Amino acid sequence: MKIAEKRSLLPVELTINGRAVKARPGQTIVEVVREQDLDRIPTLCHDPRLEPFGSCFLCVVEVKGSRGLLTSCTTRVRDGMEVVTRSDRITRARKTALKLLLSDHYADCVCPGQLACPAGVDIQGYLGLARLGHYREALRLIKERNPLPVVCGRVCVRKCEVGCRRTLVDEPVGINYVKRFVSEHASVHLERKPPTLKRVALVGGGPAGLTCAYYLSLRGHSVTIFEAMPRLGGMLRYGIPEYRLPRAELDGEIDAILDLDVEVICNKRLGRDFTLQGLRQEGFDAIFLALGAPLGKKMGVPGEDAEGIEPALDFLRDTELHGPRELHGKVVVVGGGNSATDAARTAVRCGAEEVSILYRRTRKEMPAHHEEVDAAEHEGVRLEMLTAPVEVIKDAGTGRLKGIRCIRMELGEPDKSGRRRPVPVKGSEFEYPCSFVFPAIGQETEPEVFSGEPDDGRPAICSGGTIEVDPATTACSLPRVFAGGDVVSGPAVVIDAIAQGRLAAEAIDEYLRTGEKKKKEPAFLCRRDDFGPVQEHVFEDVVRIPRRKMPERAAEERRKDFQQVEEGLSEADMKEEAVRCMECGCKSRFTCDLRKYAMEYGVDIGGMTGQVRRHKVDDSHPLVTFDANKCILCGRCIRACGDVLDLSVLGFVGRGFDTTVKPAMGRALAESACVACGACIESCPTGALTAKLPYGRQGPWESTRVSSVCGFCSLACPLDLNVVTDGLLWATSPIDPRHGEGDLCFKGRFGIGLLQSADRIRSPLIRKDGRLVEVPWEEALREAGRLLLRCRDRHGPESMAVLAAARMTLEECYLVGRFARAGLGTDHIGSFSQFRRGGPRSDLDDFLGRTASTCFLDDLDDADTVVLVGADPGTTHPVLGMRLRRLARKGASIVVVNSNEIDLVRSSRLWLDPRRGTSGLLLADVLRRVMEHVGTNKKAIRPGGDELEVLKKLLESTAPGGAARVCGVDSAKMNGLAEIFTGGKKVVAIYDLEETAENGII
Amino acid sequence: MWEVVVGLGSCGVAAGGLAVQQRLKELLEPEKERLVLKETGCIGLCYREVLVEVFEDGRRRTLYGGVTPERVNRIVEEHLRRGRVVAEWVVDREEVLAKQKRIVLRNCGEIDPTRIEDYQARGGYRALEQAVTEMTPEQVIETIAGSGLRGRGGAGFPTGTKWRLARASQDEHKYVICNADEGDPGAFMDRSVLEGDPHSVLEGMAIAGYAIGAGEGYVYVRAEYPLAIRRLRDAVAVAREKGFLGRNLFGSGFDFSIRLKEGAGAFVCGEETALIASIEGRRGMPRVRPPFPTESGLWGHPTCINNVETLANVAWIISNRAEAFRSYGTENSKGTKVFALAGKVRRGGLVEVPMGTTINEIIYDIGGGTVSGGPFKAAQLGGPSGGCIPASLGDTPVDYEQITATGAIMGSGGMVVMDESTCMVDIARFFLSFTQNESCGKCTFCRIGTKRMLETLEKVCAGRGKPEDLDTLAELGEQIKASSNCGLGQTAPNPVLTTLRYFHDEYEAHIKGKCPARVCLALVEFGIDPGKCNGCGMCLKACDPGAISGQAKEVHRIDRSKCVKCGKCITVCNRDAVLKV
Repeated sequence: MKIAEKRSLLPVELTINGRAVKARPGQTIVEVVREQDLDRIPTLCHDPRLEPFGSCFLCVVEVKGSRGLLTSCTTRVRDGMEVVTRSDRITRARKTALKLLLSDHYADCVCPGQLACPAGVDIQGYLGLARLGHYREALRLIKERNPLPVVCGRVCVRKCEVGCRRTLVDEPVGINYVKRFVSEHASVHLERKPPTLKRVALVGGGPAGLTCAYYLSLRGHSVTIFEAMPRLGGMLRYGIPEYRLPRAELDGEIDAILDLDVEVICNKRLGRDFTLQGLRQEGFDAIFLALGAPLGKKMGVPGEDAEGIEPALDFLRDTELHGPRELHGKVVVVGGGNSATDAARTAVRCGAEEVSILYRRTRKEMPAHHEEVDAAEHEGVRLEMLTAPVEVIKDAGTGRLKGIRCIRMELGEPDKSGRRRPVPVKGSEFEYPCSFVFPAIGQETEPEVFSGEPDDGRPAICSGGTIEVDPATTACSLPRVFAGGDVVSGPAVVIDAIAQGRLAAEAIDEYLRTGEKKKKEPAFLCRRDDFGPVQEHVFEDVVRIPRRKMPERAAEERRKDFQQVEEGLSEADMKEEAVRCMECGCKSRFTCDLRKYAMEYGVDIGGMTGQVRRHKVDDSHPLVTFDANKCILCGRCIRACGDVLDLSVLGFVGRGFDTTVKPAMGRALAESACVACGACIESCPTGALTAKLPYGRQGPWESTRVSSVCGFCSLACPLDLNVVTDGLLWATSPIDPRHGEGDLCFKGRFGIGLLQSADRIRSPLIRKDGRLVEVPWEEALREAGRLLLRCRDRHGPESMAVLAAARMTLEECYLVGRFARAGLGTDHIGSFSQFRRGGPRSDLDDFLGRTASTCFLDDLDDADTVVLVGADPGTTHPVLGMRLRRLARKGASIVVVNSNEIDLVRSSRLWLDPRRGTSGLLLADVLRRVMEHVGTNKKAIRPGGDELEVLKKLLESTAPGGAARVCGVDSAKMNGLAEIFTGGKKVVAIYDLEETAENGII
Repeated sequence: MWEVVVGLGSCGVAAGGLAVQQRLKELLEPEKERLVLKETGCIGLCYREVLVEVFEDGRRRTLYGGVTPERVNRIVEEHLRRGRVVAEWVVDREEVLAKQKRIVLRNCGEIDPTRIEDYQARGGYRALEQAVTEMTPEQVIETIAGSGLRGRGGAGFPTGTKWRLARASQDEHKYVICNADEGDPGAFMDRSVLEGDPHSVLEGMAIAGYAIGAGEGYVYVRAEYPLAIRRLRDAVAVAREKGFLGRNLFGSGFDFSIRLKEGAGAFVCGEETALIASIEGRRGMPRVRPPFPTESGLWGHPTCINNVETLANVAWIISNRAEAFRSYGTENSKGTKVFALAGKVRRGGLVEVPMGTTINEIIYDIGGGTVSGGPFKAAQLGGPSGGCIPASLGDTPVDYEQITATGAIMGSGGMVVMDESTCMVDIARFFLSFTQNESCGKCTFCRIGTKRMLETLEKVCAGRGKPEDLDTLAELGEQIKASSNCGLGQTAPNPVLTTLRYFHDEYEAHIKGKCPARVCLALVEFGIDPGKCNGCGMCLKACDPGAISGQAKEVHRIDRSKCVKCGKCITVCNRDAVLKV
């Protein structure tokens, strides 16, 4: 022991990465490295507040002379040690450890809907915010990835809903309905960054161009859009009919983008009015080509040049430019996509006698959104499935279209796309008389616009006519030139264009700032689907809720005009729809260390796949969710629980690969001894243990940490509030690496709900005409002052008294005093607690000269004996209880004097349970024994002299020898307390004022 | 007075020893004055159990093997009554014992373990008396250190050094723990010693307690050893009665008591810190070392943990001096080592050889070679933590350092002999599946890494392996060894890595779709040799899926599309006509 103490005075000298380092004896390598900021060592199982464990093997380092790699979290420094924290071998081991952990981490970082969305909008996040009524925040979240929510809220093909896991339960969540509601009921204006003085030309004002303009402009670049058509919007305006996307809404959304100081030049067409070379010479720092695919594809059948045949795209564009024209006779639209339904429904509104859609496959295979097909049918459009045109029949005289010859098809073998290939049925040809045919069988790009450029000034074009780009950066073959949207992808949908526009904006921004075309590393994502299809039975317990129906105008009515067809959900319906979200994405997505390191070390599970442990999520506990699928068995929760409580609610169960963390006896968390202190949640490095937020929705949302103090008891534990927005926040313990610091009890961690209760009064009330009315603070304060002064003036200052609430802070009490004395001029200052206890008490004053504790809380940490008299800190001040338990484990003696078997009895060395009302007598008798024990050593007893004699006399008068009988406590136990008391070097007594007062102890 | 001794170790009991004992009891009852019936533990010749030994007044001893209740009649009639040895059943123990040196097993098979008098008669508890009355603790430690005894649990840590460390720790309470959690598949050294000579272990513990200053000892023994537990419990009780355990031993003032703790069957509890956790009532899970148990062990007190075999050496060393022990063995490995010889060897059983004996000597000279008569293919040493030593390294002597150099480890003494009918990939898979199941689940590499290795091996065995899988196995194996907390994880890949090293061609053959030993069912087909089949129809009747067809007395055929490779046809065929191809 002595040797160890001697050694501890000298610092340990070692080298870390070749550098001479001094450290304190007993420190682990990771502690030294972190404290002296020598490197960043990753670790998942290490928690500086807990004893070292060493299980994840992420923190491995090399120590000269050691055979294998050592875990730096468990290896203590030694003199002369040579440590290396970075090498290929270390990186390889860390990567393998991460791969192994991820290969058994059955989890979704984000919800499958978000994964399915090309723009990657945080769907789960905004659905939650929308459900809670935070529309602005929801919209802000959407606009981080998609600047056209109004447009998408109406016309998006909703790949997210196809991906939505709710399809395994009933029907996908009506994600888009919610988006539409949010976009209509809130507005967000984001701040532009300071101007960078960089200029970017965007050619094409469709969704890709607009999106790119929005994000580039937000980053402070000057953007100019060149648009060939008279107005911006591209296909949104000239391809989507007004009844689906009202122009006022479209204009509003475009204007919001233009408000970010975007310059627009319309009616300028590349290749006709200006050239790419010209733009480059004009000094634009970057150019983004979003030219679209504006040409309708031909059917490729004889007679296609007949009058009356017009690409559906041209028909729609013409309707937008010149207003609806009148159509007579029968109209045939050929094709199965959204353009086909758009053209057909527009034709209905133009007065066509009969409109048919010809499609070579069946309705199931139609690429158009099924709701669009339904709507078309409701409006009277005939669906002629398994039919293809073979020839246009012209009027021999006029050359005008007279009809169309078709052939029936049947479905054969699946083709490359997985759809069954249509095969003509021999001899099934028939003629269909009609006046108009609008082919809607695809669109093509227009690479001819570059024909005027010099040879070395044309971007490389793919065989399909699209511009060739690097898909990671959208950069095309020419320097400074980027491209995106349909001109790159071929005809696609709005959300694809938006995704590319945003990707381009990021790449262009990177290029403008750094001069490099850098690929952005995709964020690491764990996906349950990587482990095989997610089984439906997992969702057996999910309550079935039918999907809301989008209210529509009646078909009979709407087919007569171009007014909006879909009317949008009501607020109540929207919230009902949003709550159908099952929140599949991980709640710890923003805080997960496993994900952080997976990204830092660039790993995924590739190659390590095998069996994965699948568990049912334990959702039984009211405040804690335990998802064992995400557990990496670092044991931090188990250790934290054992450290804070002697209960050890959680433990390892099973062996080998099947080892899991579970509450004792494999019970559900709700049936365990958990007291909901939340220490396990805090220590969990992944999303296995998470707190339930009191809002009914769990997010996750990114939050801002604000330091605060818990106000539930006098311990005033520091805590952090994690604020998403006003009224959406939760508490966590502050990041404090010291052992035993940062404890919170369930009140501090979960009691935050009270502060946010809807019933809480948030503005002052004044009674006017017998009714409490909300008034501004200014008015309330003025009125309070007026009334107080009136009272004082009328009855004199002595007529007034000020009472401080029992839970006020010292600072507040000080202000109360100043207010009473300096403000009102009265000395009548009191506290409620004195009412409860029958008047002011001055016991401690008499005894010690002041009414205050004789020691500080921190004095507990080096106490060797703690006597709890009547006090039950485990219940009243749980964090103090945790501290006492730790103290007991360190070897201190805890003695409980309490007639109840309080929680801390388990950690105590001795428990004395006097009959109710006799603890005063018991203590007096123990005191007598102490004095006998100490004997003549009077120095040990204060007060001395006469007072001691008085005390002795007084004690003798208490039933000598009979105390044990009266109290009902074994005399040996009382001797035990006396012994512990006299043997202790530093004794702290904690007593409960009320309890001791009742028993006449003091 | 003649003595008739029945071998009733677990091996004897399993072979039917109790019935033999019962039969003998009935037959000898009338002559019990002249013929005393006794029992003993494992004699070491497990391959010939049930063993019965006849001692003719200390003159001649005759060992009978393969005794059944029926054969008892003739032995009693001819030998015990007429004095004529039944030569055809006699076992030549010298054939097996010639090359052995029995220190640990000095009493096994020689004494009745239930009788402390037998133990005392052979010098039992005299070493303890000598230690506590004539020697200082330091002298005891120096004797053990001087003998060169190293831990027989596997790692080979010098016992004297361990005792010295435990002695140096300043603490009123110290403990001695006997690690009897023998968990390696195929290993039964410790069990045999506990069953056959429990007092030697207790005596060793008491001497260790005296040396380090501990007053209490625990034997942590697996609950799967009911007979060993019973013998131990009885031995502790009688030793206490006789004053060899308890207070003030031999009037020296030294107190020592022993308690038993039954383990619940977790392999990892053989690891010392996990073992301590288990005794303390916690989950058997290794913890970080340092502090080592000699500094902070059971209940936080200094604790010296030695394995059964180590402790069984102690009394012998004290009685015979360190020099006698040092005279056996190699430069750094002194004394003897007990092996449980098993697998495809003719004379399987318990052997104890001086360190330095070669593997070839053990397998051929003591074990009598392989069952098939051919050369052995590999010897698996050290159980699931060990490795396979190929026949080409058969001259490797039993020595900690030299065994380790082959990639295997000395281990606790399991030695499984393999011949051409053993598939090395399958063996590696078997041992890895054992360690994977027994991992405590704490360390990432051990918990998930071994699982992924196992899955890869299963893939290879199922014929779905790819050449790069072998690189993955080697790479992952090395990483698991380097990145695990305790011995289990650090050694778990050894069977795979050594077979990859010495039998790479066999792995490659699997990847090409062949299992040379014809063990991996996915890679073999069943067929009938037309030259041998006589159309008896046995296989046809035995075949549940109806894959075999054929007329009586004509050659049968197996329809491979129906065959489920259950192997019943091979079992029932009397002419070895069913083949795996």
